[in-house]
Amino acid sequence: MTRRLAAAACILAPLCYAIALPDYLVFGSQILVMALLAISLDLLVGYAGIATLGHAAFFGAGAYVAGLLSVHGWGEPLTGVLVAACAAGALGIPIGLLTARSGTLARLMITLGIAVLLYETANRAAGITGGADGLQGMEVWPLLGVFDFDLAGKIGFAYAWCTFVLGFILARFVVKSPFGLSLEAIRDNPLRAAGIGIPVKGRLTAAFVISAAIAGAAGAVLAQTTQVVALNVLSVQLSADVLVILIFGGIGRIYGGLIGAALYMGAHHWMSGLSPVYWQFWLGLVLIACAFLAPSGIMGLMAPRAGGRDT
Amino acid sequence: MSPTLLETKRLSKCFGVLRAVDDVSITIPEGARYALIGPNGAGKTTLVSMLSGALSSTSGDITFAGVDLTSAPMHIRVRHGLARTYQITSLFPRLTVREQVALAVFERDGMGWKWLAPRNRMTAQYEEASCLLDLVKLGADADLPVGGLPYGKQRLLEIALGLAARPRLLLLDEPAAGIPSTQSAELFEVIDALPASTAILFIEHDMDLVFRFAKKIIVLMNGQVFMEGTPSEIAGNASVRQIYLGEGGHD
Ligand SMILES: Nc1ncnc2c1ncn2[C@@H]1O[C@H](COP(=O)(O)OP(=O)(O)OP(=O)(O)O)[C@@H](O)[C@H]1O
Ligand SMILES: [Mg+2]
Repeated sequence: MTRRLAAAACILAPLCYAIALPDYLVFGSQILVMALLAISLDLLVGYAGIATLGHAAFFGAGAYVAGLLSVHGWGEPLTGVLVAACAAGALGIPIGLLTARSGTLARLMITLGIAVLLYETANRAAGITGGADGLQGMEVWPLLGVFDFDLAGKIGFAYAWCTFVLGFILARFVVKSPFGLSLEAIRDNPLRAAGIGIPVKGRLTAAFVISAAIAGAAGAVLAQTTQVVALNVLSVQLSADVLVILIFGGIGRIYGGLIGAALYMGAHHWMSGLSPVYWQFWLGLVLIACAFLAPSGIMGLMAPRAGGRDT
Repeated sequence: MSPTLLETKRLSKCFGVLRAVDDVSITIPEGARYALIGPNGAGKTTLVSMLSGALSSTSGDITFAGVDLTSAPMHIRVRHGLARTYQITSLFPRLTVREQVALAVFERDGMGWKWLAPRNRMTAQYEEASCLLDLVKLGADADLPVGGLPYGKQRLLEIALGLAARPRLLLLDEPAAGIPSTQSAELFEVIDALPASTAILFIEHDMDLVFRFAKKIIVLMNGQVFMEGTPSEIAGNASVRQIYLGEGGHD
């Protein structure tokens, strides 16, 4: 019951934000996009126990697919997100198959390697992607054929909120399913998981695909709401940021993504206002403090987990 | 004689130059109550690991219920009804007791791929998990995380987890390892009471328990089958007594 309430709070909190800070809707959309990305990462890291340093690969792939679609004449946003999610999910298949077979260190190398590879490819293929200048000239059609994406970002925020809610609910269904439970079992003890009949590699690959698809959807929403795709959607920095967001919020708790994203991006915004050049210095301090004071994240402080029973 | 359930032909496992399991050919019938004994390092755990698929065989064949499972991955063997427990407890410390037994039931029922169906509505599986826990007397601990459970109870959970797959053959690697001897007899009562549809091969060092609960005993030594027979045949064999039971052989 309390968990239902927490889920409801998580879904409604962004609306309170929109009412309280109507001038910062564009920033709010970005928080929601990062929260969704963090949730998708949590499925991999927190539930399936797959360490990854390249989650931006899927986010960026989704962003570029949605961006290219609208540059080349298909600006319908909803189908754009769907196609982007499918593309990112498809990219997740080979990477999932590779990582499912590997140990932790190899997983870090593979995921990092693929993200770097994609980044450089997008950088080089400037004719298609716009390279370092970013992908320009996106034309996103009105949402549902009615609501135009406005400069104040109202429609963009509503759109980002809807995708976030859908992604959040989807992730919650996944972790509460028998499939989700098997991911936790694999995370805790892969050998024994196989010993009770779980096809470990298949499950890990499937987890990768689901996570990649959600990340791709998040990337697509960012592209469509900002109407530009910058190269940094594929950057290692972004992969690290989303990992930090997840750690801030609390790994293995679907809610952590939103709390972490709000905190991290809020702190980013605030600190870079205080000292535009050195804000990362302060961020570093906060990270170290967090590791000592709240090692299992904000959600860890608020609700210590009793076990995998009902998360 | 019941029909053969498991058959190995000249099964071997080499670790470098060490032949940990050497040319082992055994058959286990349906409904068996077999013990696998032998001194430390004889290769018992290695043999069980090869049967369960945790270790690949260097050579030889494994046939189970008429199917060649020699190189099948572990989860496929479980699906065919070949499950095991571990000498060193191997559980899912962050899941609750009931949750991990239910998980094994989900997998057996082929529900493990259901990725959008809420599992808390799957009452039949949770009820079966509860029944299994009652069977091994863990009903009261069902909602605790496994990590904090006393060792003896973890051993019982090992067995419940093995049973949840509803195996036709359950391989028990020293199920009573690390629990007081008073409780180990109790544990074997539970094992012995399992339905005849589950054949059992157990590894055990306590010879009283072996003689009490096994209908047949396989003695492994240096990776080879040294002898196979009923408890009275084994007890009556002078060389087994000398080498394994540590009798006679004084200087
Ligand atoms: N992974 C491994 N690599 C190398 N050698 C191994 C490995 N596993 C087991 N061995 C060796 O194989 C031999 C058989 O070991 P095994 O664990 O099967 O014995 P056991 O009969 O189960 O003994 P115990 O009664 O002590 O459990 C031992 O000499 C052991 O050192
Ligand atoms: Mg052993």
